[in-house]
Amino acid sequence: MSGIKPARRWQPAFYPFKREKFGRRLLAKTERVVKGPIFGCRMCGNCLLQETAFICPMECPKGMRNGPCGGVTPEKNCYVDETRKCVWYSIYKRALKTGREEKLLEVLPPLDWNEVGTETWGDVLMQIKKIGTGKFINGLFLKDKERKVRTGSRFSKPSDSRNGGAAIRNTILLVTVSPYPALKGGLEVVNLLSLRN
Amino acid sequence: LTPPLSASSAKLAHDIELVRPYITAVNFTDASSAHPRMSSLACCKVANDLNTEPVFQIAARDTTRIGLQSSVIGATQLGLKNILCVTGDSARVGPSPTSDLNFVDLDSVQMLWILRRMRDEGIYLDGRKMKYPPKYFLGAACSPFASDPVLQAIRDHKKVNAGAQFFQTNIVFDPAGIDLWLEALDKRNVLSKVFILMGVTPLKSYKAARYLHDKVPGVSIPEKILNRMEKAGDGEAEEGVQIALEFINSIKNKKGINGIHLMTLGWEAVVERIVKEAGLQRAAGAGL
Repeated sequence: MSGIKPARRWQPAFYPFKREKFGRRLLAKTERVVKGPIFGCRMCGNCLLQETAFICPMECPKGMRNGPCGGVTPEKNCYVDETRKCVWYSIYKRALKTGREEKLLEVLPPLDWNEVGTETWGDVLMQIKKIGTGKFINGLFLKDKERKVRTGSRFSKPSDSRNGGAAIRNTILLVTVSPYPALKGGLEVVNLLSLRN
Repeated sequence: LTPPLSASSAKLAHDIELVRPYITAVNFTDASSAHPRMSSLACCKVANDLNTEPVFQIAARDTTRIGLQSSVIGATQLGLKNILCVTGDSARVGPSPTSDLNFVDLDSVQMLWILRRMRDEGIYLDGRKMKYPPKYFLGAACSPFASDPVLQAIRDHKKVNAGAQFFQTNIVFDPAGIDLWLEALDKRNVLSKVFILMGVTPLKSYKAARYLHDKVPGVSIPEKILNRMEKAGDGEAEEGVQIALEFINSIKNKKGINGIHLMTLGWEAVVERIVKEAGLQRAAGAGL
């Protein structure tokens, strides 16, 4: 399997709802041109390629951002459009192959429609500026998981806010990790029972 | 139970009365297969009034994040305690003219996550505090035989992380595949965190079996069972019941399975027989 999957855009790309400043518009345009052919990017503005093994799930006609639905056909095709492969099947396969299984368990919040159609690279640039280029590049290649978490959390703010979605605005360049660590581990059965009665 | 197609709830009430002595709870689908029916919320109200515990199903297809939060608050007010979050069949399998196929507002995992935060932390999706958080028991659907049981287990683990407390599986017929799936869940250590209700349906006819196999997303019936149904001829309904009973017997004592979700698909009279003959107890959590 190649490093990146050349992808086509099945559904049209999004445009922002409001007119942006020239710089952001230019960046958005560049992003559209670059990420379009490579990932089939639809400019959702809430990029999660990191979590999905660099295959964009926005190709899914059901808009699933958290894993495959229960309707995948036995040929691993999409049941809405049987001519294409289930994109989540490819994501899972690649994630398992490249040891990114942990990331599949993160709950990715709903799209923040305020960001849809806007660029995501600007944020990365700002963050690089903030923590320094050297540190950023080092952070990318860190093997030690704990330190990676720290480098990551420094430039993603997990404590956000507006609709729980903005924290996930990491891009392909970021080394962010689990914005919602509290979700890991699930719930205790004892609690479930007491609630039930 | 399948909600009625039109505005009369007489048959619905009759069906609820029919199955009530044998079951723990009734599940009402929310416009399954993208065909409009009486809403799950209304059916739950009918069941609640008849002293039967309902399971309120919400399909993400028809709801936005705002509508979701309002309807669960409303459901709590009506006294509904069980909520099942599903993404819902794509509008493409429904009648035409087809609505927007590109529905992206929510999926089932995000729904579970929003609802769990509303209940446990008492906050809306945007983080504002609410005074009286709703209380409910959260469920999710799972489909062990879509793509690969092991891959589906990853997603089911994610659903548990997001807040699922019980699972209702899609219609399943193959005990061997179930083993694979349960094993994968066990490895992930989630079996103790979730109650699993297996989806069983008594096939009424060969035609119905074929339809389920070919047309309903995520359901596949092994060739062996299809052949059995075809050969049975006039006795196909009886054969269907036998297949369901055999299946229940084969999975009854498996680790991690807490109950049966009997999908009657309009054949409510069979519930009594299956529950009695399979030796299921109400306390064991036979759902419907």
